Amino acid sequence: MESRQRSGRRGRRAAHRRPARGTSKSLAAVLLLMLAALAAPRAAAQEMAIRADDERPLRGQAVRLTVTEDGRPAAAARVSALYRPNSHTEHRTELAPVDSSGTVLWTPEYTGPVTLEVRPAGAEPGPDGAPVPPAATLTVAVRYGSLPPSGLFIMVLAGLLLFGGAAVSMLLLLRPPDHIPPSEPPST
Amino acid sequence: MSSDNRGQWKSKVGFVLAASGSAIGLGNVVFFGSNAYSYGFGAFYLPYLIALFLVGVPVLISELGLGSMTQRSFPPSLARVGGRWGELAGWWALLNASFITMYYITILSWVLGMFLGAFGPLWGAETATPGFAMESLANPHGFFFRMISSPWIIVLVFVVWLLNLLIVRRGVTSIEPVVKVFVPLMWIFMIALIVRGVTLPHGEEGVYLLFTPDFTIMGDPAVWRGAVSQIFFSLTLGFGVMTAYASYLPRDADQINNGIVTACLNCGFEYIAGLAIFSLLFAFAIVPSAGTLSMIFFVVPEGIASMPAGVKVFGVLFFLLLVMAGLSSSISLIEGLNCALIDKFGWSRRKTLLVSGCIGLVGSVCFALPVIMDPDLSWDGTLGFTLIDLVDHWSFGYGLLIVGLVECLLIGWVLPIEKLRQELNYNSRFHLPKAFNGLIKVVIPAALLFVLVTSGYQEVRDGIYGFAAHRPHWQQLLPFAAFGVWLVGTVGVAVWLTMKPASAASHAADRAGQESSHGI
Repeated sequence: MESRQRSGRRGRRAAHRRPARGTSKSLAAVLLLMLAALAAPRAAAQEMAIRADDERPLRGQAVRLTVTEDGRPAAAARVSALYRPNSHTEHRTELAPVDSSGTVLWTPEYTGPVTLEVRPAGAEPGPDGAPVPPAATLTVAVRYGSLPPSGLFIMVLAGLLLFGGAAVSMLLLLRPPDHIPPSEPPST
Repeated sequence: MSSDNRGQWKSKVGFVLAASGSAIGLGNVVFFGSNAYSYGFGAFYLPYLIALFLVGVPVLISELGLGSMTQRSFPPSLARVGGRWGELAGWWALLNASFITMYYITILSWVLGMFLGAFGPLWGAETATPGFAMESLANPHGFFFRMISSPWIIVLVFVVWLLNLLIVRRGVTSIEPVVKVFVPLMWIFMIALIVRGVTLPHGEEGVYLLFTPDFTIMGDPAVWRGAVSQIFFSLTLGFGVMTAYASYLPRDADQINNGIVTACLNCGFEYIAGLAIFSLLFAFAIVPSAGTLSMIFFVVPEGIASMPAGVKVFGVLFFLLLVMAGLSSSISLIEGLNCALIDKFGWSRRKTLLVSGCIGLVGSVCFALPVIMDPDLSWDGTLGFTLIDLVDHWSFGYGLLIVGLVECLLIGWVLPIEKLRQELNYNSRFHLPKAFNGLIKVVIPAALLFVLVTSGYQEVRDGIYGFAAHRPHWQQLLPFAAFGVWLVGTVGVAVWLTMKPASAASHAADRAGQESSHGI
């Protein structure tokens, strides 16, 4: 497992060091997918689990997270929220430690996919500063609730430009050539 | 060179569908979604839209204009602008695109494998993975890794190459009827996927996510770099394809209009592909892995598998869509090189197809090599996978953008651009403003230079891509070997092709073209 974790850090570095173009980063893709697959049995062995009262919470609205260990409330665990995981813009927020009933309140700051990671309290980061692998994870999707005006504006603008542009250009293209307005011949 | 070899589009619609089909490929369905996720959803979309109109459309119009004005493929077109150096740049672009074609077809053969799997085995709980440390893996991962590590994948590579060669066997004459079927079908299938995606519980939230700008993230230069790269790849710029396709149009074709309609159709397709992918992503709270290919092979299939009904139907639909999108792009990539070989050497189409097809097939087979690199899969899947990753880094990450830069400098400063602008305006209902000259001469080269310099800086700082001391034995040499093969295969062969004398027919066509294209 240790070598796999080392590989994981290498893979993450590789993924961050190059721009995402084309099929690039396929290597990191495989790596991270396999790490996720390998992490699952490890989590099961420690029998830590996390659940959220609402797996599609609204941004800015508190949601209760419950962490259990061997089926009982975990008394010593920390939860972190990883916003936009596996992206160039991922952002991690550490939540307060869970209380004696294994719960912690979390108010999502950003919308989109969020991976909630549970680690035993006091788990030290690795020598290169990388956090220890989580004992349990849960992926939730934070909602806007309604389409923000700026999003609506961009969506309509892009739709008009792209589909309107295509329609107008196509119509003009199919018109008989004698409709072309006269213009200056090119200078040679 | 006989006109039979070159051919001509039978209709304007045929050309527009072929050009948009060339532009619409795996990049629209997969890489757009992946890049949009990677660079902050809505924070990516606005820069992407700006890059489309400031970089994509002007370069696309220039490439199309060059093709129809010269009636020649990319190398001789650039040769008319920049002499031998221009021709060298043209061949280099096509050879770089040929490397991309080789592994693009390998990926397409994987897509074909997934399409076949979508009729049944892909949707099972798991697949046995003999040869790997894990006896079995959950699907779709298990099915995918089993498939790419099986020798049968070589057969699929053969099948995909055969399909490509069949479609391009008579040039635009045989390409046109195929794209007339494929492109409308791709739109219909994608719309079906959107309807399914946004009607899933919370599926609409994915749409909000895609379009709502996040100005805190947009300040990051990496987001802009990702947007420019996406536009370049998505519009098939720097491949020499658009120039080749436009060379089959009459000289007085309205290339401004063609460019606008092709760009709008391409990015319109990306718009709806984004809606479909992000609605699935959100509805099932799926986190893509960092890699672009994970979106196509894992994320979307996972989403489809989670649907309450119609899993097989939507799965088959999705992979059929990808096969068609991939084919409509790969045929254009193959035709770009074929067109240039016919133009220069006056070869028959049959001979051209035989040469380019055999070399391409060998390359694609290398990229599909099913040798398992690391049974634990802690590093990589197969040798083919590793080679794709390494070569893609050079041909895609650098090659396309260098071509774009050289092309803009040649057209902008040597041609010069004003001559092209006047010619384009003369034949068009839309008129390009003078700002177009500034974009081609200064703004776009500066943007491309920025992307290249920042990428190059990272390369120097971190060492050659892919090198890791922990790799066992011969595997350590792979990054250097991949770079060497790419360099020799592009620059070396481009120099050789440039130095080779052109056929007499080619000279005659060049002279005739120069006389009728106002000296260009």
